[in-house]
Amino acid sequence: MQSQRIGLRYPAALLLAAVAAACSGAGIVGRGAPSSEAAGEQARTFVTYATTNSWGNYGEQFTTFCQQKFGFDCNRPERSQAEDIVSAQEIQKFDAEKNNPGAILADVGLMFIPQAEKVGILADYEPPNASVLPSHLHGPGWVSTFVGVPAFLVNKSFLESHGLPIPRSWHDLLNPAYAKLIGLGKIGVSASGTYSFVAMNLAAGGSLTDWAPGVAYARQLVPNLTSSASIDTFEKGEVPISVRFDFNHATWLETLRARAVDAELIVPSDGSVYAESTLMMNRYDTAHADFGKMFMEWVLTDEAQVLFAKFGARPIRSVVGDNRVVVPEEARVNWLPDADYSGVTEVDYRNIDPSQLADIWENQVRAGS
Amino acid sequence: MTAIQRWLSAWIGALPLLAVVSLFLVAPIVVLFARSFVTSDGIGLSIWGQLLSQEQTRQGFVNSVALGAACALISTLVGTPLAWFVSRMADRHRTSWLGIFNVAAHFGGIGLAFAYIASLGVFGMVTLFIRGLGIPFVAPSTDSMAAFIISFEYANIPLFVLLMLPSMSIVRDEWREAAETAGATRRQFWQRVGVPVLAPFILGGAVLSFTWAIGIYGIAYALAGTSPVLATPLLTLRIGEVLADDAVNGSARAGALSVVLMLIAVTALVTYRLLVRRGLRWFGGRSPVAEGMSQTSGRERGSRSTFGRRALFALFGIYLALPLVALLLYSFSTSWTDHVLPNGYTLDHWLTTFSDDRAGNALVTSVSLALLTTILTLALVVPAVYWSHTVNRRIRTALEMSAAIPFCLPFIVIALALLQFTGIVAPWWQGSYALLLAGYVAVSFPFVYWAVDGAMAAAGVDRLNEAAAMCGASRRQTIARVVVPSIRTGLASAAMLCFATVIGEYAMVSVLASSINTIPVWSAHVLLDRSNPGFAPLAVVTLTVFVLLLVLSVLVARLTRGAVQREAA
Repeated sequence: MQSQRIGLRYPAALLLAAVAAACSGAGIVGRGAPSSEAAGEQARTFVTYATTNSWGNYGEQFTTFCQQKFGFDCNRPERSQAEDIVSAQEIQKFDAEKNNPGAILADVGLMFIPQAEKVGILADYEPPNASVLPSHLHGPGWVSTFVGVPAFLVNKSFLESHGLPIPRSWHDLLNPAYAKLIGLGKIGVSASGTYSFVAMNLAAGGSLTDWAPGVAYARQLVPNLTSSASIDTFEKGEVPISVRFDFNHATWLETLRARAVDAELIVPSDGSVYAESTLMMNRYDTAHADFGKMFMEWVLTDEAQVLFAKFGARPIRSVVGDNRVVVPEEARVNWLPDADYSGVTEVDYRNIDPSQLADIWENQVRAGS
Repeated sequence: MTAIQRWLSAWIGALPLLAVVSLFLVAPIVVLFARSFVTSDGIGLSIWGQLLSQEQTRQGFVNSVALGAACALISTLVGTPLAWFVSRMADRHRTSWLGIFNVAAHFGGIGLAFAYIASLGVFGMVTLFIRGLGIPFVAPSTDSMAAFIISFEYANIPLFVLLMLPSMSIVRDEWREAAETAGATRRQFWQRVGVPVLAPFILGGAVLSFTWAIGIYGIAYALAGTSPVLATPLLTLRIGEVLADDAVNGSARAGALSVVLMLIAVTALVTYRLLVRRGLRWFGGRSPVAEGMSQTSGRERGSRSTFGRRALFALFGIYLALPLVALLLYSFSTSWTDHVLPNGYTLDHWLTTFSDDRAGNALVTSVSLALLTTILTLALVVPAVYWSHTVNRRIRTALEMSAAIPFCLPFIVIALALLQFTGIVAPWWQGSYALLLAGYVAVSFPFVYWAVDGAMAAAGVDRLNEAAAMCGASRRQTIARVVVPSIRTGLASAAMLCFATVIGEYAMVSVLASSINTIPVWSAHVLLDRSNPGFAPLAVVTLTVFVLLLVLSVLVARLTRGAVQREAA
């Protein structure tokens, strides 16, 4: 009897000890400058979420960065994990894994930064060169990297053969002839869908605090909408008008050209918005803090910004008027002329909550129409 | 012997299973309920208030219930005659149809959604064929109620048939003969005898069909997940959305939605229990099923309505086969645009798909995960059931009650409950392979439990145990040398059910460990990746899984038939 009780008590004590050890944690990623030597070691084991080799050209980013700084290629295949998760899930993951961090960096939409701050998963460090950006585009543990602009890709072959006009503005999209022909992402979940709703609202005369014009516009648009297009459904004419970021579409143009589909990328003439992607750094992954800090600084360098441009996106520094970024001609082949972007505005997203936008869309636009 | 020792020896065989079940099933559900009252700002009803006042919650509720009711109705109308005819088939035919139903019942999730799009989508094979006949047919949009019903029924009707089959043998052939002798028509027999006896079981089956339908996540997500103007919002889809747009209160909000889903499911389960109890009152409350089964097996019953029966099976067979034909063509196509058949054919996809890192890796991960779950579950369930038969009947009550949880609660609810529970007690476990494995063991144990329990009852394990004990065998020896060999066939079908449940499962993995690349995760990635140039690899992988399940099911059927024949000999 006596011995049995002790037998039960021991594992319980061990478990408690283990829990205590795990909970005490190993600290947080602070403000201090990184050590290049430590970063070189960490480059062999770091992991990132939602940053595939192709997205934002991050594969080439890591390769170039490590070659230059440490003399080897650190872009291991297992570097990129949780490739399909969306912004909110990245934040939840950083938070859930705080005692056993899984990644140091993740690509996240700027609109989700307030949620990340509220949950408290961002590192304290801010790279010194972040000051080239206006204050709403960087903060402790995050910097904006490149921008997308909600734009239309239209299948001209399909529209012309069906006697339909080419839409050039948000207003044009309301044409009843486009019933179920316009592909859009889910508001609140898909970044391009969410920013598109912001652009629609501004074009309809709304503001970041007044969503009524956007709601009224979107209710009229609903009968024309369907799931966001894929190359396949776009080509077949199932979804001949695709509303997504300009750079998403730019990567399609090559494929479509090869398949002899006449497609045109159009920035809406009644205006659109810049949608910033950001790189955020995990507060808890202290084991890779030096590497993370150095890479945060890297993404704002001239070289890294040009690599973003090669992916088809406009680098953040070129948007905020920092003309030191010279984007070479060959990186701009799929870009539209700068003049097309004259109606595109820069918006301060710090007071917009994507989950609130999703609620407005679901309850006032979709359910109400 | 002290009280503790006595207690231990009465329960020890079931303790590992009961521990796993309480830790990974019961406790998480309790936490889920409690957590829906806690926001980032404190304890309160704000989540519920917001949730219940929203139009989208009401729409989700109405649509989910309507979808469940429609699926239950169709499953009952189609499944009841199917089950009746199958129960009266000759052995050989019954084995093949059971195999088909077994595979179809587990062929759900992302692969099925893709098969649906390939057959009945805007440019689906069937759609184009009908239009080719000159009929102005408009395919239902993939996020419509019709699309959900047609795709959900693919697994739902076979499940209904499998569930109904044992009850069908309750209606004895002697009764029909007696009724015929007394001059009753077939119609009169069914009106006065057959339907009244079967009604409670049929209604019970309908209630379970309803519960399965409202809990489905994977297919619905793949068919509709990205539409900003979702035509048929469902509670399950809403849970996924809330998790994806709100990192701060998302899991508490999703938890509250899960509680709504849970309440519907629990109401349905209580109804089911009442119905079955009512049905069994004819038989003094005891299940007459075991004797009934052996009584009808092996006898071909002549039926005068051969035409009706053949037509029913033919139509249902076509419904099951068409999506597979579309997948097969897709897997051999160079490209497939807007013709009934592909533009050209190639073997490339079959040769290259699995050399692609992600697809091959997904197959390995899924198969190993399913195997590991199966082995672990069997290892936990067999001693527990043995103990419940030979040592302590009270174990049975505990097991039956916990087995009801995964059977009636949507997996997405259980997944969310596990996520929140581990978030409190073991956050470092989140996203891990081990947690996913534990979750899979917890949700697949009921299927294994019922199969093993039935097999042990049929084999008379309590008597075998006494005999072994008299010969001086230890418990371990008895299990290994006597019990396991005598329930081999039960174990085989339990293993098949468990394996099939895990290999196509999407809701749990997407919530608990989305970075683990299983086949459903890979399939969803391919299907929803907007820049994807073609879906042929998805067809290859889906068919591979289907064939794998088919082979397993045939093997199990063989084993079962062999055993039956040996018994007869």
